[in-house]
Amino acid sequence: MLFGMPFNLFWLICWIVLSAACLAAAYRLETARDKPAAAADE
Amino acid sequence: MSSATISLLTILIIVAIGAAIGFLAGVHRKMDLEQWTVGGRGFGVVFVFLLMAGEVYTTFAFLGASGWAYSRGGPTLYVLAYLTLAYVVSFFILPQIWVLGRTHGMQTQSDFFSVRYGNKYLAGFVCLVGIVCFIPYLQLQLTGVGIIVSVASYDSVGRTPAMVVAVVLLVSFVFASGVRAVAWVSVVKDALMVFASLTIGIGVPMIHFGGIGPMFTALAHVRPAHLTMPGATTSLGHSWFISTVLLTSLGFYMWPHAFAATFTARSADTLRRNAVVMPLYGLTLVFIFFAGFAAVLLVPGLANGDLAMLTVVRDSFPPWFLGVVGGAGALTAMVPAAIFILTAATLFAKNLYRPLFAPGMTDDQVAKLARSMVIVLGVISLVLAIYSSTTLVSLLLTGYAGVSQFFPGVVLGLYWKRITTSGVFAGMVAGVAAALFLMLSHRDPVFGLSAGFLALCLNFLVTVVASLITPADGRTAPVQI
Repeated sequence: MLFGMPFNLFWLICWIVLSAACLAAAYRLETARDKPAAAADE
Repeated sequence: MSSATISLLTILIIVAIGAAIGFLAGVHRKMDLEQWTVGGRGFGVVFVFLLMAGEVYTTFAFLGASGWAYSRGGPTLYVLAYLTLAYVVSFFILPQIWVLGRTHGMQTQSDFFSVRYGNKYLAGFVCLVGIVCFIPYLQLQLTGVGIIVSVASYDSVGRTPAMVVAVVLLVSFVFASGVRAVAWVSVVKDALMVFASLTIGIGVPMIHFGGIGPMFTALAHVRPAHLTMPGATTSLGHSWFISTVLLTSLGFYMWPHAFAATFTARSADTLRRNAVVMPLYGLTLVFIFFAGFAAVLLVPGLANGDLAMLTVVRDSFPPWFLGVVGGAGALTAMVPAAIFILTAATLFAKNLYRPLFAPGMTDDQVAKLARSMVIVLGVISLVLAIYSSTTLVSLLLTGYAGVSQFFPGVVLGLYWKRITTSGVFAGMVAGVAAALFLMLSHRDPVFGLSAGFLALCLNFLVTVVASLITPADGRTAPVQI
């Protein structure tokens, strides 16, 4: 048990939050990459 | 007033508000095919979120997930894993699909296959498989609405009348307002679902055990194996868990309605931002699981696990709250059922009937046919739901095994120039045939693995090999981001 939950459930909840965080980071990277490309196109 | 009357009145008010919002969503808008199916491609992050959340969190999430937590235990946690991974997949492929959709005016999944591979028979096959796979999913929603209203009204309303009323209402608002109705009704449905799941997930363990931790401690003491793999089952072990998570996360956006929701977005960026937020919404499911696990101790021995959460709520909360849960549950079934019927009707009219039987039809005629098909499909799904007896998760997994077979054709079509139409067609036929054979002959899982996943592996293999041995058709992915 971890924080009152079975370990497998706790682990999956952690990864839900971490996945959202990783996708947010990926989104920032993609937008940062796209900005110079868009500026070059203009 | 009796408990049943209070609960039933609450359900009726919620469903009436939801249906009224659905009708009003399309007022003052000309409902041509583009507006009816993809909302004029003008949905921003909030509306795309509502539409996708509305489609994703269905009766399965409300009853099936808690039902499996109750009857199967540990294996049910696959739901949390696959939903999260599905959004990761969507972050990378949906923006590409959106660009193609925008460039070529796509409205359905079959349009994608038609544009990418230039073969109307392949597009027709995709359309047919999509519609057939929708049937168990639709059946699941209507079966769910029957269970919810029946239990929440203290059995004063039978399942069949509840399903009939739900079908009449949802067919009416889809007919009137199309995809806009679905997005707007989702506002009510999602707000109620979050409220209900948090209250149940925290309230039930608190009332009966003094908290979530003590509830799990008691469960681990009474049923030590229930929370681990394979839980209360004998065949759903770790390999089943991994293969099912892979199958369902890859197949998630292959559902024709989820695929088509991509085209409602205002931009590709909207879809990326949506993928960032959606996993967090999945946390609400955790609270539904809490109720299912609590039910193992509180109401042991239920013949139908899908009744677990509602039975616990009925025993733990006042009638008005049971009515709120019943109303939320009813909308949770009606919203996805509405989008399934809308998508299936559009697929039939635009991608099956017009190209194969009436190439001269105009878009307006297609729209009229699609709206008529809404009524036909509503009646068919109602009849099937009345005579069904399968559990909710089993119905869902059967549909998943079928639609996941589109994944190689979509992803390799986006990223691999050497793929050929013959290769995709051969792979898809092999995958669908294998999935159907294994699922319908009750050979799931096979060697501990998900039958749908094995069919998907076969599909990938046949697609790649057949593409390499057939001449390149010169059709490359029409756009790259």
